[in-house]
Amino acid sequence: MKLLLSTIREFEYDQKSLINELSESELKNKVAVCLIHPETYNKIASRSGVNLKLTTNFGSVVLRPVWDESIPLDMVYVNKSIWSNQVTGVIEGRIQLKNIEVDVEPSEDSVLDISDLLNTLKELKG
Amino acid sequence: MSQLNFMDVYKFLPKTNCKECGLPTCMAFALALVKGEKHPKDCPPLLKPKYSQDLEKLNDLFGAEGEAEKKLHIDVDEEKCDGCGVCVIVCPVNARYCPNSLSGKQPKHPPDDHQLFQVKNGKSELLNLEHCRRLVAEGRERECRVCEIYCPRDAIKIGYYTAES
Amino acid sequence: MKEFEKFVCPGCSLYCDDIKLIFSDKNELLETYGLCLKGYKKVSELFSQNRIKKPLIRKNGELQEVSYEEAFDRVNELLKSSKKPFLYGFVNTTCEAQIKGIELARKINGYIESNASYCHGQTYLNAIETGFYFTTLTECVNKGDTFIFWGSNAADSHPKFLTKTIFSRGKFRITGREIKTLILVDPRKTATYGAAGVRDLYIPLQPGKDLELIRFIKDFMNGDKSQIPSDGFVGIDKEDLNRLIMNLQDAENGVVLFGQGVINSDPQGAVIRALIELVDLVNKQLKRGRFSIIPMTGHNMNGFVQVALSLVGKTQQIEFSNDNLVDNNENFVSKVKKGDFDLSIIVASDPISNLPVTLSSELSKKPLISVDCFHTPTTRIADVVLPAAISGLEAGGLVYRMENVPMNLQKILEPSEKLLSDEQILQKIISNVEG
Repeated sequence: MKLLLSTIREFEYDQKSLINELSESELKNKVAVCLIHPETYNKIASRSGVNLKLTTNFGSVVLRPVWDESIPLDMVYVNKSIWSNQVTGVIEGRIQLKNIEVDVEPSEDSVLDISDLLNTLKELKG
Repeated sequence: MSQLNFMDVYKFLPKTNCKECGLPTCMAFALALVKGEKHPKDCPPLLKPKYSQDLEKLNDLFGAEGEAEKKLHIDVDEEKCDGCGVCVIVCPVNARYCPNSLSGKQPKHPPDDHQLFQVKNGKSELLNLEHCRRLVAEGRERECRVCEIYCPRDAIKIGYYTAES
Repeated sequence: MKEFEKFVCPGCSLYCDDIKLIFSDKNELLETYGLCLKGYKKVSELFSQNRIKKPLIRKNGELQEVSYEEAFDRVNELLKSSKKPFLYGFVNTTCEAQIKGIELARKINGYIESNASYCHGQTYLNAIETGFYFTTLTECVNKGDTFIFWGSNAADSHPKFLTKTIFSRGKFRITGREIKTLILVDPRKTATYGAAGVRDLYIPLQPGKDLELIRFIKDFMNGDKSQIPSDGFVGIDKEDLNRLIMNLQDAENGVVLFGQGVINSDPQGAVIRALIELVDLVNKQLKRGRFSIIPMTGHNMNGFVQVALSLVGKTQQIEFSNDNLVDNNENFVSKVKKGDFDLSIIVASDPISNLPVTLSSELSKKPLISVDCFHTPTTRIADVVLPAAISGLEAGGLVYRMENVPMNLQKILEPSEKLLSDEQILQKIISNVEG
């Protein structure tokens, strides 16, 4: 389903402070989230508790959905973290973090660990 | 004194005219209930199991006697509270007794005896409930709900509960 | 027991100074009074398991603990073989460390950039041309009566901001909340609107329509549009538009606050410029009173802007060659994306988490020196990690609040494990380069 993606920073899911309190698996569960209206979610996934895969021009990532009725129906909000930055990018020399076109679909995959994300970078490091 | 018609009350009574309540007929007892001169528990047969549903209906109409007094509770939901301190600043009692709070700053510590809210360890905490406007003030000031209305996270709830609940 | 009154909290760029802390004689945190949850978590970080206790160097692919001396020697080696060093971060630290950062960049012919460049750095770049309207928090408390949050969720970014400005009873605003108006312009009703009452206003702005709305308001106030269209404009009701314009025209002392909602969806800076020009127009038309602007910055972003302007006259794209400033047209995003650097020094920042993957992967391909207090994805891929004392708790210094009022962070505890502050670390690197 085509939606608009924006990254936001909410205190409840903030990676910068939670990384000092939680273990890596707890952190992944709390921080790698996307906020979505329940009605929008129900059009995408057939049952609750399914992860969502978000794909933009810049990349794709699997996130855990959190229902929030204040989210507009044509948008998905992603918590700013190392996960959200897999789908943000650079356009014309400027960093773009909001109003990015995204394709959202249900996914059976689980959310990647930080180690997996860093290993991808390391492979590029050579 | 209730606004009920005594016939609405009579239908829940045993209708045996046993006189154990001290009145000649159940009709007279119904009239006395409506006038507020008697209470459902003054009819001994009503306390028997076979009349328990009728007794319950009558208690709903007239109130079970010996009901525990409901007390004011102001609860701060610790999971929702983010320690922003709006409750501390907006409370009219704090505004009167804690001059720092007028300019939006936190009151001094140790708190004044009348101070109602305090932000401790990142969460709001209620102190000295006995000085709340809802208990102490007269007239419209008694309807004060500003802490509940203005909490940005909806973490404060004002309620009246009995001691058991 | 040790008690600290009027402690300045380093949790966000509000730097609240009405805090009381109580520590035991063994330096355990007993109680805090006045700290919001964000500040409390910041102070509790003193005892986090995630603290970096000793310097680290990458040997045979793994990070290993070494002494400060060995770490500084390795840094010096890396600097000697580097021709295009890139310095980044410098926001979550004191002005003294920022000054040292610019001095280091000058010494090693480096390119230095702060997080502000893709955040409120844009605001100040525009302000150089349009002018700016400053105010202070005290003025907001005593005189402010209209607060417009445009693309900013103050309840999450600066939890006590609403408390201090909208709920306070200042000298000329004794009735407090009842006389102040909160206006939220945002695609979503955020927690900021949770403190709203009957006189407040929510404008449901559609994503990307900021410029159209601002232009409409400007045209209306210039008299170009005689009335608001009956079916509204860009999805906003006629009634709401009317109230918004009325609040702009009737305010005695208004403040426009904007944050990431405007900046991140506006790569060219057009919306920021339009907002500043709108405030300028409103000020010219108001018969009494004024509107001002507060950028909702992060930590000591304003400090870097002040330091950079006073030392070199520019706020971003600061590059040195042979002790002189280089005139360049390239912002750090293009530079990093092309891989146009051979070493990066990251101070008090976590770009591997916070920058898009196309930039963070370039940073991870080259040698990286990280100066930080806690383990983050950046320190995990670094080649040298220099642990620092926490600014505001174990190291003091100057910072600038969100409306550019200078505040003094205090040192209240000695750093454990004899950790050095950001300023001391950068000074040591400079001394090694010189000597």
